[in-house]
Amino acid sequence: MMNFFGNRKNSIKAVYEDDLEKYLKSVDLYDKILSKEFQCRFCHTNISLENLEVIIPRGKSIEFICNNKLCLHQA
Amino acid sequence: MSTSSLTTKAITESPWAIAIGNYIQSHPVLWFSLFALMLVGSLLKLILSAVPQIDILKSKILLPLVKKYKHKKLIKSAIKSDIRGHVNKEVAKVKKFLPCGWAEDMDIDWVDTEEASTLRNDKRIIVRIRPLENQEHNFVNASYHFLHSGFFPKMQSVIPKPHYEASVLYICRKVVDGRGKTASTIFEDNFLEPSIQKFQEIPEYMDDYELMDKRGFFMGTFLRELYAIATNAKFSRARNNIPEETTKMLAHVKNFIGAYDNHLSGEKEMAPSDWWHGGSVSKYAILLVARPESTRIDPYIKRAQDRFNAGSKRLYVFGANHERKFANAVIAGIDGTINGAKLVESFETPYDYRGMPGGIGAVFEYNRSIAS
Repeated sequence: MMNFFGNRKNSIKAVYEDDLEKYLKSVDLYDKILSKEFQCRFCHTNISLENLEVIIPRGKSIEFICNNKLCLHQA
Repeated sequence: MSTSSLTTKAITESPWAIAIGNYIQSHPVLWFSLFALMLVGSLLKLILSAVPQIDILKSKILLPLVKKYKHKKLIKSAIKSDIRGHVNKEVAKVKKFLPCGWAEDMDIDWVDTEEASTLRNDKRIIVRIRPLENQEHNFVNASYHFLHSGFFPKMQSVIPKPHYEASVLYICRKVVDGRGKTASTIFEDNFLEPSIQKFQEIPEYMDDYELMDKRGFFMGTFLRELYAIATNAKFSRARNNIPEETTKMLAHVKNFIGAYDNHLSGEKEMAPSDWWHGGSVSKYAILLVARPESTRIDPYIKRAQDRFNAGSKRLYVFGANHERKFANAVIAGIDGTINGAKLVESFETPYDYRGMPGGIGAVFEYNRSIAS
């Protein structure tokens, strides 16, 4: 994507802490996370509102990365 | 008459619409000033997002304010300007060396709601940003994921994981170190060390990258050739040999630097085979453009042609900063003279092949069927 000055931009999507609950509800993931339906892609720990760090869309499925140091760098 | 036309007519002919119209017509200066103000505001916003230093300045004004007045919109604006400004300031220093498109200017798209289908169809990952007290962590996290998603586009699953990880970490470290000590420590503790625990090769690779980087060959040759290997081998049985191909290519670039150093010190002349590498997928040659004794570019073009004839599929041309003009003439000469040689990309290098700051390079691809 180009900006007004002709520089190309790559954007990352970010969700702010205070918006996390609202965001997860909007994409129908909130209840599933509360009921521990998802595990971290790498360490397989249950994903919770506290440890969720990265959301990775993979077409039909969604993957999550927890805030464990060993998992963070592998997203 | 359609319903919408009737609605529009009813609105434009209503007494309040006529009154507003009359008011605008009787106060042209006021409305023009408001319009001009909106235009200037929009332009300022565009400039703020395009120039990292202005983003940083904006964050320096906003950050102390939002610590006092906890207004969510202002907090998000401060976080965004701070991360975007610092990342773009540091990325600007390396992006001219990297393959085109790997590290463009960064932007942050805040999401607070979206359709589930939008989330699934948009391939971008979503990073959680924590409150301001964790801003150094936010910065490191955003920088890493931004670079990670931009490196080796569409080949991320094909590139050997330890090299993918090590190269992102190597560049990310440069970006993060520009921010300061706290960010560097978070990067080392939360990203570098855990990566090393997973891939023990990473420290060795990073030493190799440093060696190549100081001569312009890390981003100039290694990353570009690794990407070419993955692109060419992706849908063939050669895909299984990519790690081995990468190891051999890395060894060749390191040996080339060693052989060149021996040549410079007068210890040993370079062998003809030092100048090219012939793997099963990776077949390239290196051409160093040195200070000319005459202004003729023909000897370099002949050398390039000889290397293509001998089987090289790609050619990396490098020149020092103070010989830029001549090196560019050689690059243009190869591009315009050798049938089948296509200039893929010209680029800058942080150091030249002698280890002096600044340099230029170019990579060519050779198509034998066009040449013959």
